[in-house]
Amino acid sequence: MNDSDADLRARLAALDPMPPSAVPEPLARERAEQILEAAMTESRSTRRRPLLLAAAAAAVLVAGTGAALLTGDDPAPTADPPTTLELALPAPDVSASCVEFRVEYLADMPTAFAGTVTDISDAAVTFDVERWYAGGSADVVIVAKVDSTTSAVLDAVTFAAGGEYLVTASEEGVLNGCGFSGPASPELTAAFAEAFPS
Amino acid sequence: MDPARHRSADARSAAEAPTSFEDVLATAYVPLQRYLLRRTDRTTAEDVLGDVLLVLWRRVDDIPADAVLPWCYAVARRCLANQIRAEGRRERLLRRLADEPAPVAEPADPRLLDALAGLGDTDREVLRLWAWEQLAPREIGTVLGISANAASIRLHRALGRLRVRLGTRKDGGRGGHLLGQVPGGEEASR
Repeated sequence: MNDSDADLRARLAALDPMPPSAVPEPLARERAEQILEAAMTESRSTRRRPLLLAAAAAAVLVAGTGAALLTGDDPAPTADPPTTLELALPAPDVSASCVEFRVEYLADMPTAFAGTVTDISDAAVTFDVERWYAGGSADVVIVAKVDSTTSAVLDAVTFAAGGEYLVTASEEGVLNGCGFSGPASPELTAAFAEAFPS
Repeated sequence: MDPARHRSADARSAAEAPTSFEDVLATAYVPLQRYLLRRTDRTTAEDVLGDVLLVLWRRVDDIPADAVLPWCYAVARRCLANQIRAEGRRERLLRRLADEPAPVAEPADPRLLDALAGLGDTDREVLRLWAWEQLAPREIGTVLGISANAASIRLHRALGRLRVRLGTRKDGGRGGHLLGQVPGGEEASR
């Protein structure tokens, strides 16, 4: 037997403990973000480059609760079902720091919901809302991207169609990163349940 | 081995388009998780991922747009090595290596696993980068901080030594030469 390089590569790939079919569970984002937070705090004054993890501060686009603005086929000033809430991803030019993830802070978020991504376009990420924890009643949330070149990413969270997420936003209607939005992991689901007792 | 040094060495050939931290995360976050989970236990992977993200954030201006992943792997490789050195987690890593076939659904390839485990660290890493991260020799060079040509040679030699350990190298002359490079006489007794 004389394995070709390609054969050997395939045999080696079969030993891969993390093959492409295995999706890694998210590692502890809180831990990673704590480190980044510390780094940002220490170097914010000397470094002007924006840190995208710093989601909380940027006021870019305005949220209008219940405003069916983006669907374009509903001119009525008061929205008819399905109602839509427009939020925004933080702008890439925002410089701000993460606060440590705490359930108490989570409980203060004015907007919080659980939803499934139904569509990702150049301009926006669309969520079907499964549950409102705070601040809304719309059936659909549309999160505007800052520009079409920006991928649908909020710090370490990459939104994917079909994925279930827990999302919070600031009063200005900007999504919060820093662990305050993310895939609906058991940990984050538990934190939301604790922060927003029904 | 320092990615920054490597970059400055051939910075002119690298694309100069700015890379945002957001883009880097979108490209590299999951591959970095895989890279670390392939090489260490979950707890260490979590620790090291934090270190890696910190380095990437600080050095985002240095990341070549045409080699984001290899550059990130290079950072991860160095951070993992630091972690293992710093915290004496080598035992855990070795245990993890021994456990590696466990998550694979198909029956493992024990002969190949033995052969891989018998190689030196660099050979093993070259082969993993090639077969698991699916990198080309040029990209392996970026991870290891060596030239593309040197990476090709290392890959070729690592494959040769792997074949010797597998006992599939039958061509006398070159095989004998390679045998001489392998520490220990294990294959000679086979």
